[in-house]
Amino acid sequence: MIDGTAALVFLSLRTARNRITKQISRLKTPRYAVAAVFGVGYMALVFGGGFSDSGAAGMNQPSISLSVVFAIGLAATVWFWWLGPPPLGALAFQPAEVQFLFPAPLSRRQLIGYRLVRSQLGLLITCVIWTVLARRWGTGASPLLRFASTWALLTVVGLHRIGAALVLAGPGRGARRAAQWVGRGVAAASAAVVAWYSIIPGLLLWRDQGADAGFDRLVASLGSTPARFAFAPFRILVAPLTAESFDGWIGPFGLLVGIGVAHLVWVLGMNVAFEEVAATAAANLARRVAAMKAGQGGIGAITAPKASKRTRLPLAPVGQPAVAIVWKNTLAFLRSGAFRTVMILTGFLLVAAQLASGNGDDRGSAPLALSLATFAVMSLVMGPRLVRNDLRHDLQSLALLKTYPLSGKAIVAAQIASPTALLVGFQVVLLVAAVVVFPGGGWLGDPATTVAAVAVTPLLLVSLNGMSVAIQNGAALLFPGWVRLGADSGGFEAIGQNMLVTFGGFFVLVAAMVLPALVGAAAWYSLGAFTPLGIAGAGVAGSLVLGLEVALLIGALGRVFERTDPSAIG
Amino acid sequence: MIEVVGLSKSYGAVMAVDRLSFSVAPGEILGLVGPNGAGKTTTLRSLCGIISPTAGTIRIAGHDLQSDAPKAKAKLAFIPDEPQLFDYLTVEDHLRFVGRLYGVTDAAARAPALLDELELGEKARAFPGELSRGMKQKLAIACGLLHRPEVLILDEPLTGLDPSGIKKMRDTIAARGREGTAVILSSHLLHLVEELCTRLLVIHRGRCVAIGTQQGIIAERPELMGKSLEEVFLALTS
Repeated sequence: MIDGTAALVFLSLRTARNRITKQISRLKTPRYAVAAVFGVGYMALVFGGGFSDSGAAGMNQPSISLSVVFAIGLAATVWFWWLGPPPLGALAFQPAEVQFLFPAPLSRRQLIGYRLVRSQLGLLITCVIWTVLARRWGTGASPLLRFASTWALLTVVGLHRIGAALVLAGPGRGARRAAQWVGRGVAAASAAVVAWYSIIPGLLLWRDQGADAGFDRLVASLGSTPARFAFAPFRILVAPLTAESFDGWIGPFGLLVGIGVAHLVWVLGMNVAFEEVAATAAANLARRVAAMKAGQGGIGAITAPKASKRTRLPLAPVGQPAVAIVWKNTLAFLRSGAFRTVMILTGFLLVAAQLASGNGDDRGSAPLALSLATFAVMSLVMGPRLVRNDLRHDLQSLALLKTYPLSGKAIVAAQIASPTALLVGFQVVLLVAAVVVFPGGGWLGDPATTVAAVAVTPLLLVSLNGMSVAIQNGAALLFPGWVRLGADSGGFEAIGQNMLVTFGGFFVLVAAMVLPALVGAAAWYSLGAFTPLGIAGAGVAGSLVLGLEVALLIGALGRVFERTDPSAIG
Repeated sequence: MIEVVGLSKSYGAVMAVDRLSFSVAPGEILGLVGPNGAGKTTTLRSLCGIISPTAGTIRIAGHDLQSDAPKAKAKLAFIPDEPQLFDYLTVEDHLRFVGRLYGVTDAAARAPALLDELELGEKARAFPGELSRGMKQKLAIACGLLHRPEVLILDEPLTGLDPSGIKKMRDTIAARGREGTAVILSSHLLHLVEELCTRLLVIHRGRCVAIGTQQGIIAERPELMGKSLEEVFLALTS
């Protein structure tokens, strides 16, 4: 008798064991060992006691607004799955799994079950990291309860994503088509109710009485108006995370587990022919991970460019060869789903800010200017993590890159240049728009000060973004086993891994900023603090020192690039 | 054109390539053969600068691959068995990209002819995801040939090609040889090697066990007289 489940259990356990063993064996490499010691020490120092506090003694009462923000984020994600492109990445099997498991005598239920189990390793690691971080952020009760809550929440969310993908995969007929309409209808109705009764009134109040009043109105309306019914599922999901005590936790956690069981029954009960979708996702994944390097697919894995999305970008046939790499990466970004996402987000922000700014008078345009500037700063922080059209994508084709007639330094510089240029361009547009719509015509004090600030801003943005992107590329090049390579960042199953990389990158960025900040401050004081000359001098001096650091980093990474063996990637 | 002296590559205690020395003159087509794991791919990847040798020197068109890598690489093209293409570049984008990368001034004029020659003309605006396995391989070949390389390195170039594509590829390799390109061809298809290659390099466990023309190799080993290339190969690598 064929025991497919036993084979799948063996595959899951052996894969998990080997992955862990491989990660541990990387610590034999000095580079990984030093980074691990540093990272663990840093986490212990900053987030120390994540697992050592106990029960109520270590509790911090989480603010209601934090849990609401968390629930809103969750709601937006779920609504996007149902109303946006189907989250087919949830069904992405690895190419080897398609090759071995799909033709094997296994039921669809077994395959889906295996897919669920396989995602658990990444989820458990993410939960550990969340548990440690959540203490610092003041959420939840004891570490054990936080861990259990996080695990249950992410598991339910993962199940829902797979369920949505199964329902939405393919055109569908009969009952499945009805299920698609029901799913999309419920999501659209929920989103509309929350927008109508909570978000729009909150924005309007923000316009009239300020951000605090607007947010208070949003929180209050989500708990009282008809929006509370649409929002209730998301409150229930995050409730265990914000419980104050065991007694307050056990009930919501039981409810969450119940929801999880219901989801499990729903997902395993669906007999949807998902194989073709999964195989297509796997094929796309295979293309991305070139030569079948390991990794799990996310939504990015199935968003290959459509024939109709043929963005054109000129490239002179002759000139610096490295420019070809910048051109290639820029074109890749413009044709990717990431670009569309950024444009949609920007459009949403502008509409929301315009709504908040009301009739466009001086007082009303302040929120719009503030929103634009805030978004620019956010893109400065998060942009280098999200715009990945550089070595983080191309390292999977390292063998090909190494055949190019360019030095390692030139290749690394070209790889860093594209995301840097895109981010700087995006931020400059936002900041210029913010200055233009700012009440009083955009003058920051006097015209000379404004001119000085505007003149040095692009320089600062180039060096800051350049350093951030260089750090991200350096992480990929130095620690390819720890950094997720490819077009997508791995989905929510890799949240923990991505958070570690984000924190590590941020720490290095802060360290790199020390010297430029000191030099900038020296120029600031010596040239006359708040004078136009002081502002310009500080900006130029700081930017130049940071730019010099970027150049040195690129040179060092170029040497690493030349030494790196393609077999070390993946 | 290609000069390899004492090339070695080790992975820990494993010696993948062991003191390999050979040269390939312009117009010569060298067949690199050996059993699985013999070190062929490691040798080819070393010749292209993809991996750094543990010891030895490699010169491409007079340029040292270690100390003068960009100039050496500008003269060569590597066509792997598994084509690596960029998801977000169309077929014609790939050729524009490669043209700029290698400074091909007439890339715009050459590209359509090359695509037509490889029967990809109708797919010029297609992305790799819209191409069959064989078409991807043809695109990789087109990218490799665009800059008229002086050194052409091919690793199992017929993989995934249809009969028409195989014939065209055979003709293309032969034509490059006649035009003066130094070609290294690695393949398990011994009839292809026998048909196209002017000399053979047989490697086994990372070492050169025979080099020369097929007749020359047989002449040095009287026991192989009258044997086919397949029998010679098996005798040398068993």
